[in-house]
Amino acid sequence: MLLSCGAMGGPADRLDRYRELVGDWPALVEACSRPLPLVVWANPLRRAEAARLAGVPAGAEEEPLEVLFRERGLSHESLRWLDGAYRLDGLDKPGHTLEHYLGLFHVQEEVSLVPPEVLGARPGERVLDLCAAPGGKTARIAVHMDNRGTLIANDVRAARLRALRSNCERLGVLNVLVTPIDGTRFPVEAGGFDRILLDVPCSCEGNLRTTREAAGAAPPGVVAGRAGLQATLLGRAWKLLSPGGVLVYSTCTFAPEENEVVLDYALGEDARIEPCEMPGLVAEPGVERWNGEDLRPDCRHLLRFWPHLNDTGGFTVARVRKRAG
Amino acid sequence: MRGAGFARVDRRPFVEWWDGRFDTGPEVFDGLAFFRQGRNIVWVGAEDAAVEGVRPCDGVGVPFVRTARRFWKPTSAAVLRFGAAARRNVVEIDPGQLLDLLARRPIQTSAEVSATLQRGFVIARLAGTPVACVDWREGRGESCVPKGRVLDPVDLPLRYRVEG
Repeated sequence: MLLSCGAMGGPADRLDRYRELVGDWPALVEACSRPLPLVVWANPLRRAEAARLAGVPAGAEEEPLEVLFRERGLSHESLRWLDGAYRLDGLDKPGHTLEHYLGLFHVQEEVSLVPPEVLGARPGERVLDLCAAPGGKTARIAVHMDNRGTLIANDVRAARLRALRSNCERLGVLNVLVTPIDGTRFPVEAGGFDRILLDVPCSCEGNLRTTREAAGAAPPGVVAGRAGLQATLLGRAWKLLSPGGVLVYSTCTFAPEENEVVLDYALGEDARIEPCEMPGLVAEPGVERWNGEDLRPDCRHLLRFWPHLNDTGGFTVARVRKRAG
Repeated sequence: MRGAGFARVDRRPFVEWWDGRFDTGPEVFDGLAFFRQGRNIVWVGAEDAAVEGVRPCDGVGVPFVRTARRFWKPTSAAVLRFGAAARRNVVEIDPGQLLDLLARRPIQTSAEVSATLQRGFVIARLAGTPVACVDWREGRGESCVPKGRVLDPVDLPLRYRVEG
């Protein structure tokens, strides 16, 4: 069956160029044949509203959204690695619910919740989300910041900016400044950020379980074009980061040309890709060699989330620290 | 560059207007500040948000009030964020009325309830949870739910489901 899936040109089969990077290829093929679980996170910024709606006393330990899920007869399983986030079964149109309208929860692909956790922003810091739309990760950063400090959510694409603003309003994000600037030209004089999330535009190979028509390895021209933009964005983001600051680089694509190769090309000696772990999530290490070229050795600390490892979409995340002083 | 960028504004007129209209107490704005760029919309956001020098900028926090017309209009974001504490110009609605408001259909209430409301913008709440801004006049409330946020039908939590 697995072979026939490949022979029929299943999504994973078209990722064949990455076969040597994947520990368990049949498992990847099998995972790609299944739909993606629906994942939502309860919005701590709206917890009081959720408690009121669910009839739960304010300050109760129980997550009010779970009460509402239970009443609806929805099967919900808490994520092992992130409190207040769930895999939901049985809710066909989450965007039609009153709970969603009120911003009590947000739908987000599970593995795309990783970058804000790795970023680890704190209240009162100055943080930049350079390619922020549609805003799910921005909102998660605001949650980490307890809605305080300065979170600049930037994106150059107008339609996606509208979605970003709409999501931030619905979720009650109060420490966000929305800017519509081309990230490659974000003014250096506005720099000095404690943390930067750089979730770059990419060829989106990791979305193969949701956008099956477009699934598979991206054409080389697309990868090369994206890689150039990504390197330029990383170069600019690095200038905006304070000494000692943390930058998280993430993509939803597998191509090393858009991940380790970009980091190798754009980062200098004042950068260190740090080891990071997400307890409860399985990741494979980044590559240190690709297409016969050696890459910087700390590229191995990049986390590669293949779809079969945690039953998610595909994602890569690297945490980079800038040398202090 | 869009405009001159956002600037912090004196909080007093906005806190007094809101508290005067909805009687929430000024403390609902603790830790928050008001910002403006241009004449129409005032925004509310984190008190320590550093807006200086950030240009162009499309928004800070959430929009709070539209001040262009004679009667200031609270935004939906403000109603949902600060409406729970309101003790004046607030109408408790039933699930059927909620379905109407979220579909941008008008609602009506009893004469007794209507008598407690001043003409103008009021807050609609379901079981104490603010859900929408309503423009109230002569016993009839027009929904101010933004067109982009209309829900029709609405999938309600089980305890609020309407029979039929």
